[in-house]
Amino acid sequence: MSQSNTVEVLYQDHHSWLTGWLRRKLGCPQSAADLAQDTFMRLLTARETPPLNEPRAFLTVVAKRVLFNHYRRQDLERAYLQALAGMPEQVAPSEEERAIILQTLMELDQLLDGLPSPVKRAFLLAQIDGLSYAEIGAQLGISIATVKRHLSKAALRCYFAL
Amino acid sequence: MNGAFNAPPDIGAAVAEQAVSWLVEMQGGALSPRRQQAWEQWLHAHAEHQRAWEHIQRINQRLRGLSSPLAHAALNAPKSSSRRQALKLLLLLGAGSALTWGLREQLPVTPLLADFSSPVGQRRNVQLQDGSQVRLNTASAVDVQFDEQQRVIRLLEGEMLLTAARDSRPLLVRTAHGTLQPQAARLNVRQFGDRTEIAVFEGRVALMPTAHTGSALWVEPHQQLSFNRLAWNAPRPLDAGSGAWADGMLVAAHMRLADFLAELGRYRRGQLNCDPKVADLLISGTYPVDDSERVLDLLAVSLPVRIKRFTRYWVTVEARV
Repeated sequence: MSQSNTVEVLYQDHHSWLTGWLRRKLGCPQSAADLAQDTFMRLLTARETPPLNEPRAFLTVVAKRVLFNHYRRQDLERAYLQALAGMPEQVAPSEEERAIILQTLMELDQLLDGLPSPVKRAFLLAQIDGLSYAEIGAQLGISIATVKRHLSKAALRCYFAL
Repeated sequence: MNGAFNAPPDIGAAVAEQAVSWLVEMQGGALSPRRQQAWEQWLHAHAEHQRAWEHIQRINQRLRGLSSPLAHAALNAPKSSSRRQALKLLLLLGAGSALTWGLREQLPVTPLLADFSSPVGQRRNVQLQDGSQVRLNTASAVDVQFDEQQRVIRLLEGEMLLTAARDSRPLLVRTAHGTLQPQAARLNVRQFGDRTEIAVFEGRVALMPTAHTGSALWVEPHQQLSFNRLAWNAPRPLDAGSGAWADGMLVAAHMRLADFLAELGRYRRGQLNCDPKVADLLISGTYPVDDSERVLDLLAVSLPVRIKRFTRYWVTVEARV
């Protein structure tokens, strides 16, 4: 059976079940419908054909991942808006700019996920805030050699997913 | 992911490492003419080198886009104040990005996927099928698995107060560091990165660290101790404040301010920082964890400190000048 056929069968048999499952997790019908959609989209673009023997267990695993990203995005968005609230109004980015910034933040977040906190912070201070190594070292309380080591590590991950 | 971050597939690890090494060197300051020449040689030695370098530049461009408001402000502000304005914004943005990441790291990863979980700053009661009761402290999560043979509660993160019901099946509490078997007990279990701490209020609890060989330790009522995967520390009498969180209280008896703030920080989102200059001040008393803002204000009255609130999510306690 082809990829899209399999997903279609899954969709017909389990879409409303999955939406219900997500609604219980989220408490919001609107988001639940969106995330159910995202889950099936993810299956359609996946490389492997989904297995059909344990369809609900399988769907739950994928949906949890989608759910997790959803929460993460919400948190990023909240933190971002919070930071934005402290800034003068005339520099507030447009809706579109915000969406792009948030998307970039999400991607960056996923790429840097799992790196120790000082490594991430050193990288962000260097690449986004443009601080010098000495300034980063002072801010994080680490030596310049350590700043460089952190940067190399984060850069390999961020630029080359290594 | 569909963004500009995706690495081009045809760049090998060795070249990636060389490119990053050049990047780190360049950002550290202007290259000497000799190094500049060496860099150019490297860049033109192979098409793969150039692709790697261009890829880095492309992503950097996107990263710089994150501070686009700053660029706008700097360009639009009147000449004389533009630099000051830019610096001010730089600070704000700096806090913004650090803030974002600080928050992210505190995000509990497991609870989203757990059977029962509590968000930061909230407590939650869970009644289990066998009549046992679990009270979850802030940012905590458990998985519960009951079958015909046994009852298993797995503490994934944080802290819980467990009142275990009697049942014919054994009850096991698993943490990252070992397994507990409470006998009709009421106990507090808290998981840290490197250890688990338990306090037994009623009943007895058998303790078996994961990698411990030999017999289990029986922890008696009114005892508390900590253990890691290998061994336990000697039991000691209960602290006055053990389990006070269940009533929303944080009890401090000659606690270092830094430790106190770390505890209080568990109940709030964002960063609660302590200036090293005041870290060793001692604090005693009973504080409501649900109103940490007020607790902070109290600190400013009772100790020589002041509370610097950058945003609601970024607070530093520092020495009063």
